[in-house]
Amino acid sequence: MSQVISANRLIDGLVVYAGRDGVWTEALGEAKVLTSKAEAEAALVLAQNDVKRNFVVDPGIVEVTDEASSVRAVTLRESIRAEGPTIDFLPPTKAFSYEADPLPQKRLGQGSQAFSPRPRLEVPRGHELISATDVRDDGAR
Amino acid sequence: MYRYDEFDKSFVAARVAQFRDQVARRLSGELDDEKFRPLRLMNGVYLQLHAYMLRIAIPYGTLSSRQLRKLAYIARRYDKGYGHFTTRQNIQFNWPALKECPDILDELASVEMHAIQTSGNCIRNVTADQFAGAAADEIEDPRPYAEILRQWSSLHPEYSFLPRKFKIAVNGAAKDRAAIKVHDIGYQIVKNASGEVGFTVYVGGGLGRTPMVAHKIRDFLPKEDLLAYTDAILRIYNLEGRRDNKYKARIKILVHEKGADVIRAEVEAEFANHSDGALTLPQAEIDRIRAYFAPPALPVRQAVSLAFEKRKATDPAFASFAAHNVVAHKTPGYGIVTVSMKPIGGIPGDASAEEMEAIADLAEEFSADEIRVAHEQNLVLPHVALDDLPALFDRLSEHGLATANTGLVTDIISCPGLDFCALATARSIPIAQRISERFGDGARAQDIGGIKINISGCINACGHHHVGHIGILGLEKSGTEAYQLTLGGSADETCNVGALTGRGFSSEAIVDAVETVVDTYLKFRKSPAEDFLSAYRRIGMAPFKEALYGHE
Repeated sequence: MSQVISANRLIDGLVVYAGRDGVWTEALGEAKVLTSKAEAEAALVLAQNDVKRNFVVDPGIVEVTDEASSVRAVTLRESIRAEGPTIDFLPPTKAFSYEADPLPQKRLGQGSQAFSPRPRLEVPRGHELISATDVRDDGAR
Repeated sequence: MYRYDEFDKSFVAARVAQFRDQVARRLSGELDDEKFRPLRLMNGVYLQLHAYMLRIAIPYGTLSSRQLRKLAYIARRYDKGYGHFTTRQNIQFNWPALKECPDILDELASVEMHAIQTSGNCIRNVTADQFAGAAADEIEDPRPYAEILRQWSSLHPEYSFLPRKFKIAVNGAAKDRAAIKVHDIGYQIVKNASGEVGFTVYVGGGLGRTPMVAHKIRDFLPKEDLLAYTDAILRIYNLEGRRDNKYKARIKILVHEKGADVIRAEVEAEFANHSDGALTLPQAEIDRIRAYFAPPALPVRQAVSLAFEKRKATDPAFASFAAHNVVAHKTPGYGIVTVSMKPIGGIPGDASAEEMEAIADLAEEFSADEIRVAHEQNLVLPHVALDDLPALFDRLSEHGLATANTGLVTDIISCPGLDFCALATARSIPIAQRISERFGDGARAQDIGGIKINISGCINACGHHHVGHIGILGLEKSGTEAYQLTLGGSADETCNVGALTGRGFSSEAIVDAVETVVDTYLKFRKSPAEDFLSAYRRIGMAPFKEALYGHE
């Protein structure tokens, strides 16, 4: 049995997973894989704490396979949550930008590829303090 | 078009300010998720699989160029550069960040739009025929009445916590283009024997897990009684609708369980006893609202356009566009143009910011600044001079927006399905895309003729599968997607719920199954003049079952 903890990030709703080093990550591959019921339940309690701390909403346990160092969701629904829509939904990129756009990263990935890299948002103000289960800004890496 | 008055403006602005404060309090932790969820839903913000989703009301599907440009701006600035037009004439954005939703609502308010009552157990966006105010076959424009209902029902204290959501549609022509019989209330504008215009009232229609065709409870309702009668229906529903079971809470269940005759008697009694005149519409008020919807001043033109006829005779692509995407306007020399949001192999109802801007520009230039959203997930330019059609067609073609497939096999209604929706059990968009690619837009699609394929990714039926001539319902069966097929459904004035063919099909097999159904129709039809639905109604399910399943 392999499981991970997933939720949606409060500020933008994006899918996040409880990571190996105790931070939330947008990549399923970086999620901490849990191998026992006790471990999963303990991780869910930690996730519930992050609900109370207003980092995430709707945390839950997701079944995964963990083979050849690749973590994959078992159900189609969770695969789609992990990898994005299975269709080419993004319109072709057009050179266009509005000035003073506070979220320039958001349009990253508007290309012709079927799966977009997830948009990255900055860490919400006040959440910068690193804690065991903080929201991490993956876009900054 | 209706323009906000001072009351509307301050009302919407106050609501945005209130929501901004609620979002701030949620992000700071002052409000927990349980308290915040109903507040965000009241403002159209859902949490879907990948992100929040914002559903924006487009009352009776009418937009100005300015409003459509604003939607394009929001798509680009706050989302991923596109939006999705829905089967209730709304638009949904799939990727807004919660913290930016108040800004989006501010942007919307600046063009007299909002997301109020696009969720929750209240009276939802009132829909209407997309050709309203333009169609040659229209008795009267339904939009003033939809607008009156909208004003009356917005944040109505008595009807903000109904047993379940409540949908009203108004149709203005004998041809039902608004699917009124699958709404909680359907108002059909009619003319009685003495020449007065009023409404025939249908109640208790709906799709979802228990599809029902609405029952007629009144032949003729005078216009002035529109609100009083709606109020009577809502009061009966609010009192008697079930609150113990979410799946039995819609008015269709109440009408079904008590019977249409009982509901009719109760509504009539409520209407007679409690209609003290407070809700009787003064003619002056009807006239005031109607004035907003006065037809645009269209220059007088010859009924027959030489430019239009000449291009039709020489350009088959244009002739096909004219045949499928243009219908008669009430003003001679004009046509109503449907801009297909169903490119071959594309995503039904999706429009990029660039496409929205292109259509906004074309509406300004060619269609008196007006755009409509059809419940079939297409856009409409309602007032185009036939003389201008060649130029409009060329401009649409430049933007890849001239697909000539309105009403054809590739004009598929599809919900977002499991690619986006938290409720979905199977994907629907990829099925729509594969069917579209299978049939294409060549001679074969032309030969098949008028047919409606509707796809839903779960039993809630946002893709109207029950009323598709061919309906497809995506389910999950032992961890994989499975698709049920229904035939013979119809959403128009001959409204009918489709019948299940039999066992379902895998994702791989469903497109072949649809093709088998279409080929069976082609084999059995009397002539190309007999469309799919007519042929099905004549020959019944048996030949289709035989073709799909043989003698198994």
